[in-house]
Amino acid sequence: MDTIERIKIEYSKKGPIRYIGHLDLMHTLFRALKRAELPVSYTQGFNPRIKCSFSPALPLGFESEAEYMELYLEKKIDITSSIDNLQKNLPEGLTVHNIDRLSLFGKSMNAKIRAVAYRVNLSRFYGNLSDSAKREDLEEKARIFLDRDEISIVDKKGKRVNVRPLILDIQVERNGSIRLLLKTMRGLNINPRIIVRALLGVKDEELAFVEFTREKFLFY
Amino acid sequence: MKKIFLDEILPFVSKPGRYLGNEWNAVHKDWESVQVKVALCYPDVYELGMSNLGLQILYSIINQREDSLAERVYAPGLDMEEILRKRGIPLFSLESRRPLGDFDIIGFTLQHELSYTNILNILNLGGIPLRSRDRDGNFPLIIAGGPCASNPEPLADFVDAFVLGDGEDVIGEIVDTYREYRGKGALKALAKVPGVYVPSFYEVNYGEDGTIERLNIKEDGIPENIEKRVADLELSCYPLAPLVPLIDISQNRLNLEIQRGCPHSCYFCQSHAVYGPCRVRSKERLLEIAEASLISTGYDEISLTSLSSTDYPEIEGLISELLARYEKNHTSISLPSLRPDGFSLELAVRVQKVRKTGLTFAPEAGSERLRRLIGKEISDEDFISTISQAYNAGWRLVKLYFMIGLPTEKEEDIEAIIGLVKELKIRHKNLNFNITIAPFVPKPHTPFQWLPMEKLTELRRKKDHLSRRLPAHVKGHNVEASFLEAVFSRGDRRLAEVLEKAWEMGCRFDQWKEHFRFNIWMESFSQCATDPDFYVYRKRDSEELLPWSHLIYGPVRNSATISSKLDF
Repeated sequence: MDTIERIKIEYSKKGPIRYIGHLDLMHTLFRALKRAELPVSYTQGFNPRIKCSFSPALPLGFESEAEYMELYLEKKIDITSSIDNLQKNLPEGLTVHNIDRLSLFGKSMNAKIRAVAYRVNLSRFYGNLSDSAKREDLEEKARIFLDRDEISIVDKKGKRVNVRPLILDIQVERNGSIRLLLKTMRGLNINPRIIVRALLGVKDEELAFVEFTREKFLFY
Repeated sequence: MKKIFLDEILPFVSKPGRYLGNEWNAVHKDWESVQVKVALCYPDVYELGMSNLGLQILYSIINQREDSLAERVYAPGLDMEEILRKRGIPLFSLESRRPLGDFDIIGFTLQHELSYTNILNILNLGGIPLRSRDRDGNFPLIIAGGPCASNPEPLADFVDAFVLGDGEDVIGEIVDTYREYRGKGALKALAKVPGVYVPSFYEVNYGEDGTIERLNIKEDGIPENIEKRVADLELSCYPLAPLVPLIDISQNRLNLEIQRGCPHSCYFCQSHAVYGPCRVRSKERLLEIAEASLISTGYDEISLTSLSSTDYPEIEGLISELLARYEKNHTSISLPSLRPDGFSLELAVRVQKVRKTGLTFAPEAGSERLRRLIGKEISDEDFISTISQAYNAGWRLVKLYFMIGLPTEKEEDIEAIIGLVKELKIRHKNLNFNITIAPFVPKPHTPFQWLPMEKLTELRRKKDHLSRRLPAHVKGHNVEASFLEAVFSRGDRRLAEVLEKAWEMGCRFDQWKEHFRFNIWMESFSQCATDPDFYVYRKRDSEELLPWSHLIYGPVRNSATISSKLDF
């Protein structure tokens, strides 16, 4: 059957299910779509697959309030009842917020990402940030960090990379979180752990108790 | 005890998705609302345990009862174990995250002898004394079932009760009995439940030559023999909402068990005794199960599982009907365990319409003579013609299983394996083979149970020879692991000490090549002054009292007819 519609399903990922990686999450969503009997389109060919695309992979252990999935359908659906129906078929921790109709031949959402906003909860790592001395210390760190022209980190291949141009903003909140706004360049997203590690001057394993949440995608 | 918080643990372990317990269709019951709490343990990694149908069946039966709950436990990874030990956190169930010791019954499935150290490790991590005699009524009852319960004697000091045969019917009787008597007091009543073996009521006396002299029954009313249970497949419970994992597992599809047992009786194969007699589910029942469970799971693949799927009487009708109903929904069918014949191949071709999977055959031996002797009747000609048909139907990769060290095996039988594969390569240059070579282990309740296993040196030599000479990708089983499998599948109660010692010295996950430590095992045998060769290389007299002689798995097809063919 022909594809007649493209939709965007917006959902969040919270709680223990944040320990499920990208590929496994895809399969979990495919099974949920099947249980919900949504009229999804399949690709042609020898190994037909569900026609869809996902928001950029979320690092293992991150929560998100801003995930989405673009999905092609072979029939029109009723949005409200489909949200309910899909929600009933999702495992604990995945919540559908909205389903939007997209133009069938438009650009993919992933090609339109300008920046990604993260919330980083440091309270289990850094102690209580309602202590004003601590907060001021962190604010100072952020100010110095943003004043630099170059922040070089070593990437997976051992190459030095300047990540400063990718950092659009860092804000320290009263509740013990910092907010990061990171630029997406040529479709590539930087992992905020790298930025937080550089900001605090700590090793990766020390970040085990830092809680990351993807808050929002900013689109062109 | 207080519940365990995952956030303190999961950032530090690999594959944290194994420990979440929130899989689709997982059952979370109110702890206080039930009288009997059962932890079902699979003593190996999550990815294997979640693929096991037996545990899913028991999970479903227990959770359907209002008076009981079942939760799951898998062997934690080594990194998880380290964290639990370092922080003094007891091993916990996935669903309620309660320590193992909070349960009334802990049930283990015995799928493989090399999982035994994991059983001890799970008990220890749960804070539960290993030996039955060291556990008072405040600890859970430890019950085990599955294929290795056909000779459970090496575990007799650790496990309170074994279940022989199918679990579907007996599990309810066990829960009922436990509910009435509770704690250790339930054991005497359990010993009278058909199919339940409580080893502490039996005492084994050994003679001077090390063989068993007699088995004493310690109390009145305890049965002399225990006969395995056989369930009625058509009437018995089958999970209609099986657990769907959130991470990838080894059998990540809907398991539809079409048949249990096997109509063939290959003499080397223990499955005949363990899973027999051969029984089927009706096509109508299977279609009902498929319909309900596809809806409840969202799976896009159905595996028609059995020991020999093409022997299912209505296999063609079943496949046609499943394809007619679900192919349009992009649901595929897979057929494991095909026999190397033309009919099997036709079926394989039909189910490949949606998705191409591999083709696997197990001729087991290279020569016709040896195949006939082990009960695997297929001629070279038929085998070659089946493979040629597979090639013509488009397959370019075929997996083959062969055994080495079979009774009466000669050099020419080994050469016959090479000859067979070379012949196929000559006919079909582009056809590739993945070949698995496994040592033959004589198993209890088979006609070969009295035979010795072939010497390790010979097995190594044969394996190396085949690896070098076969024009194929060859994967050889670890022969030392097979040696250990032979010890524990044919062993007796005196092995408890060896097992505990090996576990103490760090043995875990012994069936995994990267974890298997043969030197530790040999050190453990030597420290316990136990000779493993006694169990592995000794030919038993047909009159000998075997460790499993009191456990009845149907008549063992002896001996007289078969051994007349063997020149021992």
